[in-house]
Amino acid sequence: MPHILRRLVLGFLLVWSAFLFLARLQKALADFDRRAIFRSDPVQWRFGMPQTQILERCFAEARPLIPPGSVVVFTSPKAEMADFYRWRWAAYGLPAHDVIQPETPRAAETAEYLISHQVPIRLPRARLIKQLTGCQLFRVQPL
Amino acid sequence: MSTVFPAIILAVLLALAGRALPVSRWTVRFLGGAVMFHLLLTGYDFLGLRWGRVALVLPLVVLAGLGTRTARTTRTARTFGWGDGAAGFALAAFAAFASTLWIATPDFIYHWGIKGERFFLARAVDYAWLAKGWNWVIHPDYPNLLPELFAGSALLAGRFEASSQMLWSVLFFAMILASGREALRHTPGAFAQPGMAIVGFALAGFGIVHRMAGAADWMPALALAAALPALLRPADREGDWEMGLAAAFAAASKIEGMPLAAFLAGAQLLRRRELGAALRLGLPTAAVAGAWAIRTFRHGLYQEFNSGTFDLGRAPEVLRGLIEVAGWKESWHGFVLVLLAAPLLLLPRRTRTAGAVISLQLLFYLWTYCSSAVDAEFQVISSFPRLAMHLIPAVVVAGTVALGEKDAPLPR
Repeated sequence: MPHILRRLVLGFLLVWSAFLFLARLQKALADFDRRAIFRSDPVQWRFGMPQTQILERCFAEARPLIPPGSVVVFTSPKAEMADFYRWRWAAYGLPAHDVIQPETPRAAETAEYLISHQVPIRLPRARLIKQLTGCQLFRVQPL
Repeated sequence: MSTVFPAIILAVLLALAGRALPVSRWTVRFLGGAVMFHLLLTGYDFLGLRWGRVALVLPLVVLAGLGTRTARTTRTARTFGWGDGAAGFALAAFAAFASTLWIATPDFIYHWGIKGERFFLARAVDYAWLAKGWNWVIHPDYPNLLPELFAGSALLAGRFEASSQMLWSVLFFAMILASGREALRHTPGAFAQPGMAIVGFALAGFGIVHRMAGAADWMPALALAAALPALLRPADREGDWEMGLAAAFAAASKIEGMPLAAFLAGAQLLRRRELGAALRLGLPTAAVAGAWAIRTFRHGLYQEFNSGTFDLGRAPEVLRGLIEVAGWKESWHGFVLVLLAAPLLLLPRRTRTAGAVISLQLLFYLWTYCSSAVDAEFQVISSFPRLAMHLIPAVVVAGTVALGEKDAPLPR
């Protein structure tokens, strides 16, 4: 391949990659600037956006109130897999605990605590411990 | 921000511990140190010992002290050029975003980060927790080097802080660039500088838009990039160590790293064909993969959905997914098409081995998609942009070497 053609190939890739970088940098900066009102699908939730910030506050307040190693059921409204991803954020926010969903097999028998995010709880076994920011923490009586 | 410094200290300790191995390149020393760190923690787990600061640091310091000066067989003779500066700027932009957590990968929440914090709290890889039925979502069977690095730096810091854990991705990115520089040291600047800039821009652009801070995918990309200098020069003894350690690092990082490890070690062994080389190439990976297999199968962690039956009938679905990914999408803006150049690397003699390793890894990805137990098209769309990242830096660097070789051929 002639020298000029080989340099052209690299020049073309350079322009392409520089565009990729600058376009994405600009978009990311714009998104970052409006992070306080940023919306996305649940699977793409990020640190610093309103949906996750409220959950982070809830978990930070709940951590000192739940003994490490406890089984915690986390429940939130079901919509477009949002409950699934909120559950994963809950597991991340409560790493010392075993965080499960209400649908997890044997959840009713193993649950020790229950955190409800925007779901009314009418469970005779659940006793409200505290109203936290964006969620409620319950103690679950054993079966 | 103070928890950044323990992560930096751990990274430096790993590189220094790598001096105990007969390798002269700092990137490979880091990989060697990381592999030894992984084996050390795995050993503690086997013995039932909890991790602690002294148990973590002391062996690394001893290894660093054991290190003898290994004469450099390779030198980065090039001076710093505009391409290096452009790549450095791209790295800095990625690093600035990474520290804010705005581009933290969702997988940091879903598995890598939560594992790291849980292991930090448990002072061990918490196999009982990994084996819980509901934890199938966190890929309990994946190799644990990245969560161990997270836990290790958190142990030194005394607490787990997500923002400082992003440093590992920045470090891996920086070492990919350093490896690229080493691989391009004999390439004329007119080719090497654009090559470096392309790698920096492409990785930073993808890393920002696809949110790769805190992800493990930097690690197979680093393993392949770090192996490139050895792949591009005539096979030698130090190259055995470089390839063996890069292979072990890949195997300790992700499941996809296991076949990459086999291809790296196999490619070098084909060039060397001697027992000593086989041991240098095979033992590090065998230690990593053996420990992983024992732990995974003893605790019943392996997930059935990881494997299915190969069916060529899935090829049209896979192709549709690949076309979707290769289009003008947000993630790569079509740049993923450079992977089509991978087989061309088989043509020049100098890049033939590197081209074979890259092509085999690419074929492995296509094979897994054709063996997918779930919707193949969806799986390609959701995972191939990340898997392409493992290969793109190596394709660009090796391609640059191939394009520049005519102007500065190396002695055979």
